[in-house]
Amino acid sequence: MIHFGLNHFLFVSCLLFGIGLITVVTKRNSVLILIGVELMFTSACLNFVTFGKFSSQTFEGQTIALFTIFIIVVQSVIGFFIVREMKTRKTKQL
Amino acid sequence: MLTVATAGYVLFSTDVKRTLFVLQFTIMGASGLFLLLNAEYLSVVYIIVFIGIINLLRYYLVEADNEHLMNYSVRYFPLASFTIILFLAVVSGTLISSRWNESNSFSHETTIAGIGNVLMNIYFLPFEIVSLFVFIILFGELSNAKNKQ
Repeated sequence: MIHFGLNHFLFVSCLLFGIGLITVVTKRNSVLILIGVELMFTSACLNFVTFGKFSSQTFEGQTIALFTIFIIVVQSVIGFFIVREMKTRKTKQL
Repeated sequence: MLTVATAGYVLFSTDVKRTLFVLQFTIMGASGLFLLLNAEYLSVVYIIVFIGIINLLRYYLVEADNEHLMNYSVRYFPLASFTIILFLAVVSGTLISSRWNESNSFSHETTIAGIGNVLMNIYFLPFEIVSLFVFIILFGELSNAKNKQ
């Protein structure tokens, strides 16, 4: 059976963060930018849980990851309404 | 592998709807990683929140604003990719060369009980602040929707 160590998870999270960052920097589509931000948040969650498991064996890492998920939800909802508002104003101008 | 490959698809895709579909596999892969890390509760919450709420919201957004959102152009891709790959190489090098102090002790508490204990004891105030924050946003969106009507 393959043993997954700390470095494996950190490497995956590093890759996810990089992909998210490239998406945010290079894309112009608002939904894709939100997806990039979400990927970066996912990598942060993964880091919290990984360090929580491998360093202290307490549940603080998972708890902070849960807070991070709350924040992602809030930013997604706000982003959704901002994009919709932009669209409405653009339609009114036309 | 599934997580990273499907996340990489986001970079090169030109179809937003297809990207949203593929992103679901990224989320499933990430929740699988949480399972490997003994975070069952977080894994379930992750799937429910992302696939059930956020992705549906985005599907709605793409359907509603089809013309506005179909802007596929990409800017500074080679430069940004090179810089970020350089950054990733430095971080990966640091990861590989570092020696982490790994603990092998095992907690017998279940995940949900453990998170509940931490939330209600150590992080009680942040928990309340976050719930207040979500509540304020809920009211903001409700008033926004009402004004439009």
